[in-house]
Amino acid sequence: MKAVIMAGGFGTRIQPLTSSIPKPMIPLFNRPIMLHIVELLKKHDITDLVMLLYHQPFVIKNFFRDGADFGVKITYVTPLQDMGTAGAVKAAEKYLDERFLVISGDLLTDFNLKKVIDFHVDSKAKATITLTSVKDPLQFGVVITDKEKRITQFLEKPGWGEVISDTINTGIYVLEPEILASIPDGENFDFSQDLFPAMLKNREALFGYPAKGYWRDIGNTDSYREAYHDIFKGRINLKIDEPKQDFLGKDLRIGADVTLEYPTGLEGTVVIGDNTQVLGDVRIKDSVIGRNCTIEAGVKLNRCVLWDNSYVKKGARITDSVICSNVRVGQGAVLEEGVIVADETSIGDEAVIKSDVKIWPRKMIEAGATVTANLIWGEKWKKALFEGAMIKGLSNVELTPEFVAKLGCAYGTTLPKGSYVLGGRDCNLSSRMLKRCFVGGILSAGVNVRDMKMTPLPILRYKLKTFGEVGGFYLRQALDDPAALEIVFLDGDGLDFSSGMAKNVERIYYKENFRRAHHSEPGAIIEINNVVEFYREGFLRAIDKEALKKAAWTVVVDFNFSPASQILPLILNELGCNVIALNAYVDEGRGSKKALDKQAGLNRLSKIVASLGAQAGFWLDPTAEALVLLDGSGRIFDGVELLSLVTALFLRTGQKGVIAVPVHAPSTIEQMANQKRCQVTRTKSSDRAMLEAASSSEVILAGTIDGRFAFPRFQASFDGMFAIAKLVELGAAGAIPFSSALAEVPASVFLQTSVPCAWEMKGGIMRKMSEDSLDKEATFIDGIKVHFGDEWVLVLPDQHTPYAHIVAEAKDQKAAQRLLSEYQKKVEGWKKELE
Amino acid sequence: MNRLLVVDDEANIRLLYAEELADEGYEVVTAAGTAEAVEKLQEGAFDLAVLDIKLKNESGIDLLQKLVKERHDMPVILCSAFSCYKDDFSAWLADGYVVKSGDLSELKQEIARVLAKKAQRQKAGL
Repeated sequence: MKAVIMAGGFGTRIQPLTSSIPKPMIPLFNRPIMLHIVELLKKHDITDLVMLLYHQPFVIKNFFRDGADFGVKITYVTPLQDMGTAGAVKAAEKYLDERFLVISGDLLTDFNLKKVIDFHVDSKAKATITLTSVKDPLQFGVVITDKEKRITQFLEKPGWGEVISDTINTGIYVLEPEILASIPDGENFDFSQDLFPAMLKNREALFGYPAKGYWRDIGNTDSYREAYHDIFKGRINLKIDEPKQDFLGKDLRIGADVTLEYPTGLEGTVVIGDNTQVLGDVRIKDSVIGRNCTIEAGVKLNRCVLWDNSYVKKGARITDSVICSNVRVGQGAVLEEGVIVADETSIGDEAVIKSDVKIWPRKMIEAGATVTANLIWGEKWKKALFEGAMIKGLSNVELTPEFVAKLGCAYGTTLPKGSYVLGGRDCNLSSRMLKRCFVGGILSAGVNVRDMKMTPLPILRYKLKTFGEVGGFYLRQALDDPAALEIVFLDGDGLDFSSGMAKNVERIYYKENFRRAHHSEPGAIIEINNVVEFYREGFLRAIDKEALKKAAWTVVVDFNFSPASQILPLILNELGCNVIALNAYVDEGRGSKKALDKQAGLNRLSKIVASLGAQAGFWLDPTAEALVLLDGSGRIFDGVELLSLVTALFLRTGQKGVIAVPVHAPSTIEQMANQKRCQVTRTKSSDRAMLEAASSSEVILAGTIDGRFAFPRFQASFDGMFAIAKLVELGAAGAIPFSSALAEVPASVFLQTSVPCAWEMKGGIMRKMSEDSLDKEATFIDGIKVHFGDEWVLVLPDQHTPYAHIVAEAKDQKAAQRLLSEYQKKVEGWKKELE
Repeated sequence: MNRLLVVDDEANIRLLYAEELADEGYEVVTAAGTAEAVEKLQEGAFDLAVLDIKLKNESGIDLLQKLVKERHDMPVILCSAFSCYKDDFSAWLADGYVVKSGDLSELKQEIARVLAKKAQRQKAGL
C-alpha cells in the first residue's frame, strides 16, 4: 500500500520557525517532523511513499533523497501551483493506482494506521477519514457519524454555538484510487471542503474512523512548544536518535562527541545533540539541545528547545522558549516564557526578552536591551529608546502605531494626572498618523493634549514657555533619512528632555508600568488657536522694526516645505521686507516630501539671489531651526563660518553679555568677544546644554556650528525664522556686505573628522586620551580638549552613534591638518591596543 | 524679603491677599487699578506682580502687556475668577495663571514657583 505525505504548506502560521526551512522540516527532538511521520508509516508497513511538495521542495528532497537511508521508497511530486489538498493528490494520480493513505507531513501522532486501513477495508468504504476527539474543536472541521461510522455531516471551523461534537477530521485519509476521478484536473480542490461534502451529497461510501492515541496538528509556535511538553510528560512515545544514558532517575539522551562536564545539573528529559558542549555547572530541565551547540557555565534552561549551532553564554536563563539555528544568547541574558528566536540572531549580554516575543531572523539585540514586542523587520532592538531628547526610527517599521501608542502612555504616566501637554508635528503624513497614536497613548494615562497640529517647532517651544503645559512633543521627518521619523520630547519650559526625563519614560515603557486612566477620566484633546499670533507679537517686539523697514531688503528664502512658510513671509512683509519664497507650500495630501538635496538647493538659491539682486538669501531647514545665509552675490555662509559671521555682526551692535557656543566651536569667538568686552561660555555639545545656557539671563546669543541660533531676548531656543529676521536686521544695521563683516573674524582653520569607535571602546579611548593629556593644558567640558597656545584639538565620543569625533583648530591649514592627523593616529592606535 | 504688587479692583480681596501673603513673609503693596499700579511701580521695584484681569472698566491684560514691555524682569501672575482667559493668547505673556479661590494655597504655590524660577535664572546668569 502507498501513502501520500502532504508537505507543501508555507507554514505561515508557525513563523518565524519556518523563515528558512519548510514546515515539515522543523525539528522535533532533533529530527524533522516529517521524519516522525515516515517512521510511523514504516512501522505500519507502508514504505512506498509519494511526497507532495510545493514550498522549498529542495530542502526536503536533499534530506530524504530516494528514501533508502530511511528504509522507504520515495517519489516526489511538485505541483506547479497551489492546487488545494485534493488537487495536489490528483497531481500525483499516475503513481496512485492502488488503495492509498493520505497524511500531513506536519502532524505528531501515534495512531495505529493499520487499524484505520482495516476499518476501511471492512466497511468497504471509498474514503475513510480518521477522526479524533479534541477539547477545542473550533479551529478544526467537526465530523458527525452514525452508528455504522458512516459520515452524516461536516461542519468546517464552527463557532461554539454550532459545536455539536468534539470529533474532528485529523487530515489522515484512506482512499480508493477511483476517487481520483471525482477530483477535477488543474483546479484548486480541497478534501474537506469540496470532495467529502460532494461524496456525502452523492451518498457514496464515506466513513469516519475514531482513532485512539495521540494527535496534534503542529500549526503554530504555541502548538510546537506544547508538543514538546506532551513528549516530556510521556503522552506520546517518540523515536529519539540520541542514545539513552544510564543515569538513575534521569532520562538523558546524549549524542556522539558530546561534552558534558556536570551531568548532575540535568533533570527530567534532556536531549543533547551530537558534538554539543555543555561546559561547567548548568541547570537544564526538560530541554532538547541540537547539534554543535555550546552551553556555558551557569546557564539555566527549563523546557527549552535549541536547534543546531547555537551558543548560550554564561549565566543566561531561558524558560519554555525556542531558539532556532545559529543563535547567540549573550551572557546573563534572560528569555522569558514563550519566546521564539529565529535563525542567526544575536542577543546581547544582559538583554531581556519578555514573554511571548518572537524575533525574526538575523536580528541584533543590543546588550542590556529589553525587548517587549515582536521584532520582525528592523535590524536591531536598541538598549535605549532615546537619542538625546528624541526617539527616532523607521516610520511604520520601527515606530509602529502600537509602539508609539505605548510610548505615549509611558510618557503620559510620567506626568501628573489631569495635566496638559502641547503637541505638534511637521507636514509629513507619517508624522500625522503616528502623532494620533502617540496622543491616544497620552490620553489613556489621563493627561490632556493641547494640539497645535502642523506648526514649526520654534513656535511650539515659544508657547511652552508660557503657563499651562507641563511638557511638549513634536513629530517630524528625519533630515538624514526620509523614511525615519523623530519624536522630540520637550519639558515644560520648551527645553529638550534631560537624560533623567528620558530615562523615566524608558523605565516605564520597559516595565510596562503604565498608569491607565479610569474610563470616566481619560485625557481630552483641545485644539489651541492664536499661538501663531502670540508668537508674531513676541517676534515683532524683539526686533528693530524701524531699522528693517528703513532698509527694505529683498530676501529670498528657501523654506524646504516647512510650515514656517505659512508664517514667516507675512511677518517679514510686515517688517518691510520683500520676500521671495521658494518651496513655500505644504501639502499633506500629496504625501511626504523628501527634503531637497541641500547642496543642490543651495546652488540653485545662490543663482536666484544673485540674479534677482536680492540683499540676502536664506536656506531654512525643514525643522525651521537651522539656516544657511547667502549674501547678495550668492556666496554661501554656513557651519563655522556662519557662526563666526553672526557673532561678528552681533558684537557690532554693542550689546554686552555672554555668548554661548559649544565646546568644539572655534576659539575666534572668544577673540572677537574679548575685543568687545563680552564673555563666552562653552557648553556641552548636546542641544539641551546649549539651550540651558541660552536660558541664562546674561546670555545674549547662543549658536552652534550647524547653523542654529537662539536670541534669548526673544526666546532661548533655536529659531531659524527669528534668526533670519535678526540677520536682516544686523545686516541692514551694519550697512556693510556680509563678506566684509566676515573679514573682521580673526583668521583660523577649523578641521574635523570622525573615527569609527565601538560603544564598548569609547570609555577606553577617553581614558587613553586623558592619560595622554596629563602634562598638557586640557579642558573636560565635553570630551577632552587639549590646548597648544592658540591651537587646540578635541576628542569627543558621539553620544548616539559608534563614532569618536576629532576637531582641530589652528592658524593655518597645515598646522590644523597636522594636529588632526596626529590625534587621528593616536585614536586609531588606542583602538588597536584596546581590541 | 520679596516685594509683591497685588492689583485688584475689590478692596476686600486686596486686604485678604495682603494679609495672607504678608503671613507668608512677603512685603505686599496693593493697587486698585492700572493707574495706581503704574504709580506704585514708579515708587519702587517689585519682585513679582499678581494681577486681576477684570479691573472695573480696565483690562489687566492691557496692564500685563505694558509690564512685559517695560518691566520684563518682573514676573506677573494673572489671578482671575475666570478660567477662560487661559485661552486668550495675550494672557500667555504672564508667568502664571491662577483661578481665584477662597483658598489661597494655589496662588501661594504659584508665587513661590515663579520666584524660585526667577532666582534660578538670575543665579545661572551670574
